[in-house]
Amino acid sequence: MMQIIPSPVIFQDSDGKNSKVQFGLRWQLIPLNISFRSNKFTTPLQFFKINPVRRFTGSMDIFVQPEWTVTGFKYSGLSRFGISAGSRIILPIKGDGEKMAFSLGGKYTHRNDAITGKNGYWSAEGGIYFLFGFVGLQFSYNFDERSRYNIGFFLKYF
Amino acid sequence: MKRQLAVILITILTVTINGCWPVRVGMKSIGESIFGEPEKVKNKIKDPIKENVRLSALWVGHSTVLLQIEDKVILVDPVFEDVISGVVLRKVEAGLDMKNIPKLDIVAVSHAHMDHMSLGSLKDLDERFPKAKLVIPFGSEEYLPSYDMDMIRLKTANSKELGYIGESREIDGLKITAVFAQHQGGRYGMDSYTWKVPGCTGYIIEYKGITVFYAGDTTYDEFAYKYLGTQYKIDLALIPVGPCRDCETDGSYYHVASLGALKVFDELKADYMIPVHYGALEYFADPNIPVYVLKDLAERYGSSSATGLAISKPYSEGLKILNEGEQYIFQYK
Repeated sequence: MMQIIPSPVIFQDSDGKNSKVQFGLRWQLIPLNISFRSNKFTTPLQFFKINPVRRFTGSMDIFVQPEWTVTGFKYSGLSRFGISAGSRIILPIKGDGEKMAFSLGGKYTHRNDAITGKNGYWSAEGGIYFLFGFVGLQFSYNFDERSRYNIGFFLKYF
Repeated sequence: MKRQLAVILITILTVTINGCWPVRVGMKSIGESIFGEPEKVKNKIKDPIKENVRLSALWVGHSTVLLQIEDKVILVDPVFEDVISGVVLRKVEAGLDMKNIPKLDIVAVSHAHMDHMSLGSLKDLDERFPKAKLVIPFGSEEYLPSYDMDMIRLKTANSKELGYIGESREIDGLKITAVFAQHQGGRYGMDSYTWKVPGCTGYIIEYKGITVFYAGDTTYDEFAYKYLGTQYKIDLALIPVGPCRDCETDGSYYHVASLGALKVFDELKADYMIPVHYGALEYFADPNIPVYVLKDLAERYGSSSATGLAISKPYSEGLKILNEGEQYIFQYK
């Protein structure tokens, strides 16, 4: 249920000449997580309800992220609503991932562009997570010059 | 107009945030955990495991205790970090350096709360002692990754119906049994209720005629400890004190304060008690208040039963209050 709480995101909005940041919300859904370090009593495969220990001690997410740009895109022509799907690996840095962990991954975002007529773009993404995975930051580099960067908070409560 | 609204909003937010006690405490804790340092323990013991010892206990701090029973070394609820639960700086650092533990047979974790189970400490222990056994209560496996240490999961018996004594496992001649503790599983707060994962226990550890009881986190129970006292001849009881001032009457059903701890000790009929679960975290202005109260109670009620605390013997002799990093070697004839 906690996955329905969205995380705030900042999107770059550009038409090549002008650029602005726009505020949006992102829902962090994880249909599948495969843990690399589940113990002998627990399963490595988790669906939607993701145990933070198994996730942040080393795992792979298959994620889906609906996004809603609250302030809209002024320059780029991108639609307010987009949905991303992708995969990332998460590895621990400190405290076996409870104090700090990071992620690297890629995703495809479906989002209509009224100006170019395109309907999506690919992205590389990375993240850093703190405090048992309650909070984090995710950065996306999008292969679309009209919204090159996203920076999003990652907020979860278990 | 927009600017005026923004100023008003920022003013309201600033006043609200500054006036909000949990926010202030939270921000103070985060600040301390990033920039602060715990009080140092002087003269830490470098050789905690000794020859010709029947029983010794070294209080590392909070609920972490290193036990030596003959040739076996047991560590209960290992938390060695300066920052507990991510944002809380401990008042006094861990009283033992992990590198000075020369061998380890068993790590016993009572439950998954952050002041009792640290994944960072467990990972360090796993790297140093991959052949040790990690004993946990049923349910706590949800909060642990895999280790080289062999994980042993015991079902406990946290009610009269279950008989107070749960599963046992014999490990190379040492017997460890999960026994009654009235507390909670969970780790993050709400998950105690939403995940409904069990997972808290006490332990009885028996080896070569020595019996040690570790209560974990628990409340006082008028039947459980009397029963355990009839089933085991306990040499040493490690019993928590606090964090509540009067856990027995203030509705804190998951902890035991000094008076309750003394009752547990009395009903177990144990020879010795070492209080734990104080000192590291700022539950009170002085985190050692629970042991001042404990000492006072033990002396005041020592050999009389005038004040509602039904006792069977003087406590003062059996009560061993240690400082962080202090080790007590029990003398046996």
